[in-house]
Amino acid sequence: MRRAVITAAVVAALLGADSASARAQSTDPAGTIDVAIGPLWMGRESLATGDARETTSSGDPFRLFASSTTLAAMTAGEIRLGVPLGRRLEVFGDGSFGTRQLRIAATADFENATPITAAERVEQFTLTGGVMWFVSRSRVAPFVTAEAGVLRELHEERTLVESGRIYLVGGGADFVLATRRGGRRTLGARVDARAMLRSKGFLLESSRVSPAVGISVFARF
Amino acid sequence: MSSSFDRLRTSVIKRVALMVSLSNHERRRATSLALVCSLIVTSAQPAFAYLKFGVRVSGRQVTLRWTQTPVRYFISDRSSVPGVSVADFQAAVGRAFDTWQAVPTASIAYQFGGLTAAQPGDEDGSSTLGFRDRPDLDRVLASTSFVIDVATGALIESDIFFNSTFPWSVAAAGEANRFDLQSIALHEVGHLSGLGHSALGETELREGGGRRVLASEAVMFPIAYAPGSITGRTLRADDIAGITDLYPDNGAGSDTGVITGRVTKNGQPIFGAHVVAFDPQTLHLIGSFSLTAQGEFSIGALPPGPRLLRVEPLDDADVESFFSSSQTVDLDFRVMFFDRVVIVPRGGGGSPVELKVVPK
Repeated sequence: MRRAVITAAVVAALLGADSASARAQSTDPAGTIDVAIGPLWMGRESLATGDARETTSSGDPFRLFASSTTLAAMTAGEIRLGVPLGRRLEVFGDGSFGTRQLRIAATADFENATPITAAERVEQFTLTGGVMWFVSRSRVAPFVTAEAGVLRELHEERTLVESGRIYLVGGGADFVLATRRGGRRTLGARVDARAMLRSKGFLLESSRVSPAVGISVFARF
Repeated sequence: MSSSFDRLRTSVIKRVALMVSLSNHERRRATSLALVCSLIVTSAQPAFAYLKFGVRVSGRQVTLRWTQTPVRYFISDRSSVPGVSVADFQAAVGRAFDTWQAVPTASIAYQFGGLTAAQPGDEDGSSTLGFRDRPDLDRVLASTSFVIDVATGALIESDIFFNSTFPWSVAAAGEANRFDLQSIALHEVGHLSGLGHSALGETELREGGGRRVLASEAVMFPIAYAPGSITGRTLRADDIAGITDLYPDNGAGSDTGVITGRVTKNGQPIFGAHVVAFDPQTLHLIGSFSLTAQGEFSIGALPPGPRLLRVEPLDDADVESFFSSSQTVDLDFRVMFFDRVVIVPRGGGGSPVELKVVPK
């Protein structure tokens, strides 16, 4: 967070913004373009849990070993391009890229194999579109978002691609750090949290919900 | 007509060549399989998924499979034992054939040709199933034999005999102390189709000798469930992958992938290690073996996605159930998991992996 704010301050200096103007109230941003860039943390996802089973003479399951499969948490890079449609409403397109680990843990082996967590690096791309609705347009501007898009996962050797759909809802706030030209140019920091529903992709037949938190620097001009 | 005659002559020549394996086979159910598997091992093509039968023809390895379907089979008209009429036998065996034929990813098909006065083991160009009384084979429930065209390696005939020394049942829910004919037929029809044994099973030694099956996850496991069980009537993922690998249906090859690699211990290749690919989504287990002097293995017909690999020594059945006694199978290593998730691509394979095991 501190790093993001410092970065925002540096960008503000480059733009030659008047820090005093940051105290001013924002004006109607319609007709401007909103660009935000920053890290996006995505939480761990539990994909599958179950026993590797054989079958006994009577038809009952027999556990050979237990397994648990997860996608580890990751921090992706995210860029968002938005166009305000009015004082409170904005439409945007969003893209993110990051790598995370697919992990399969095996335990309780019938023949005493040492428990292990096998891993594989997965590259993940997302592309979404959505809307942002600002509760207010002041120096601290809370908002809610809803977005939908596609997700692609590419495994380490790049021999298998899985595609899925993602849906996100969340909320956060913009913190205006500097404005120019009566609020027509704005620089600030954005923090938001989202719930991400993912369908398809590696090992997903059913949908999964996981958290995501983004911190970004935005510029509106 | 003359060509048919020539073909039969060819098969008769092969019959002589197979007499040794046939007699071995009848001494012990697994032996003829082991002899055929030894041919696979000597193949220049290193990576065969599962244990498949193979023959060497003109210096090249040919996988034993039916080239023309439906495969016609006949039922011996003397196939009756107490509790099982010829009609019962035909129905139970028919259900076993139907089960293999119903695998959606495989193209194999079978056709009942009728009753015959021939017996299984008669080399007449027809595949015949029936009972034979073999009290000398006190550990053999049933056995499959082959007649092969030595010029092409093509299968001409495959007979299955069921040992009437044992008590049999065709009851829908099974019958205590009797072996389920349909279950055993399902296993033998797998052989008839060209599949060898799977090692997906756990056993314990009996005090009086032999092994008791604790559990298995393949119809093609070499040791039968206890009498009364009907669990063996259902194909498992390993069986389905095996038959799909042998007879891929249209599209099955492009929709599935393969894992290849080798097993080593102290830097040296291991022959006969059992490698299992676990699908964490479906929880299915599909196995294969390291089958070359370089310790190479291949697991084919796998749906795309991530897999966890587990490697274990071949210690849940007699090694002779899988390989010939002339081959040295290393059992001195610990069961272990591979520390990387292996991804099965769609329609191909990724980089080979090396599974490094350690001595016990």
